[in-house]
Amino acid sequence: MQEQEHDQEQTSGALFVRGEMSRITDALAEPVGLTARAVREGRRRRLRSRLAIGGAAVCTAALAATGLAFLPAPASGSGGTGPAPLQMAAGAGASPRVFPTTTVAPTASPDPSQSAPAVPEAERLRIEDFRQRSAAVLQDLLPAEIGEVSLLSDHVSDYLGKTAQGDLLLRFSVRPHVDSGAPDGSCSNSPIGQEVQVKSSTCKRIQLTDSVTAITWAALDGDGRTSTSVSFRLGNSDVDLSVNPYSRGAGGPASSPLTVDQIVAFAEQPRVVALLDEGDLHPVEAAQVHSTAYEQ
Amino acid sequence: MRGHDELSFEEYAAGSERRLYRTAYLLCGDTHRAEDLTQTTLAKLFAHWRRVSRMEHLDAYAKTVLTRTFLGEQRRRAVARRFGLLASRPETSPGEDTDLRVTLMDALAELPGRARAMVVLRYWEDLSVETVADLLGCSPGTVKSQCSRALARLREQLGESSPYASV
Repeated sequence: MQEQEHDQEQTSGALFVRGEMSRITDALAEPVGLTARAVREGRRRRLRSRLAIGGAAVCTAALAATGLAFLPAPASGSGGTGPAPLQMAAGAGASPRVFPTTTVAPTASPDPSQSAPAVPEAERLRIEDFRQRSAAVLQDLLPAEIGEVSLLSDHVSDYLGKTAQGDLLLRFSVRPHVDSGAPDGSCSNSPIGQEVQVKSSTCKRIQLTDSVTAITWAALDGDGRTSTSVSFRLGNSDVDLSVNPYSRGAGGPASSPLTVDQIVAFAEQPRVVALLDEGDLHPVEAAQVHSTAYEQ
Repeated sequence: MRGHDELSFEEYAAGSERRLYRTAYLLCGDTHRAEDLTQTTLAKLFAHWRRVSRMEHLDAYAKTVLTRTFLGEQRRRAVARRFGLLASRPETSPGEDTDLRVTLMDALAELPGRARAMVVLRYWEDLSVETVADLLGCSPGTVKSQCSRALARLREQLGESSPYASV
């Protein structure tokens, strides 16, 4: 009986809303020239799409050609075992700007999340385009101390910063969040602005914007090298921006030359925000069950 | 010289732009944004017209494109607002509102973008719960509960002055 009343109420409410919507939109003035403008915009979209596909094909061909040229000849006696050295797939400075990909040989026990099925070509190109633009903001908007940026082949969110002091792992990650309960990181409940010492690391909760709080980390590893990072929730994603020593590179690991404040300033740049928003809207990474965005 | 594709698109657009514009206005509550949303939706259809025009449910597809364009834009605006790049209140269209219209549109504006899209698709476009769920990528149960909550919220917003309050 109650359910019937509820349904009736819903129907009446819906009818009223529909009636009002109809009355409101009846009073709207007719838009002028929409179709003509849509055709013009549609032509531009077609052109951009064709250019993007053509450009991607050219880039892929160039990367493939240059990559082949840089491949080392098979070393006699190596037997083809053991980790392969780093391979630079292409040189920077091409026009239009293409950041090279640094290929790292898979480890003996690869991360199971990396063994994803092959993605369709269009999706692969979309992710490659996103990564190229991510590399561009890292190179353009982080201080010059991060060195020369290239894409790392082993994870979609990872980039290499090659400096005279050694190699850096630059992480630009915007990953769909899967709710797995409250974050339990050391700083997730600490007062804003208060530094918390966790062993040899320091975390701090900061107010990034009116509604976004972030957690910064300055961490020291066993060899005394520092990592700096900022993590926060954006829309439906966990964002992680960090600079860490990279031990798998040819140059040896280097300490992060950036302070957490410099990474926070990077996170606030409109170009970075736009890219993170795009990554939130059109993910390039797989969802994670356990959030690392608030933990170190 | 315009090709057959273009003529066929113009014919379709001329027949559907008003309907799309009205839906866009209910979604965003602003005439300028509604024009932009409609134009973008039609442009997206035009860009792939050869494939799109062969679709069996072209109107339904156009609504899907419009809704997703709106939700995408909402999210971009929300992020821009969070980062202080946009004023915190959405714009209104001055000089064209009756009291009732302001009330209903204001009440709609209080709903989150997704809930608003559900209300518009469900009650204005008269789409079934299953179709809305499919279009927004959620379960029919979510659509039902969100619409029910949205109606309750509209009732609360519209207050005693509305005939809806006496329902």
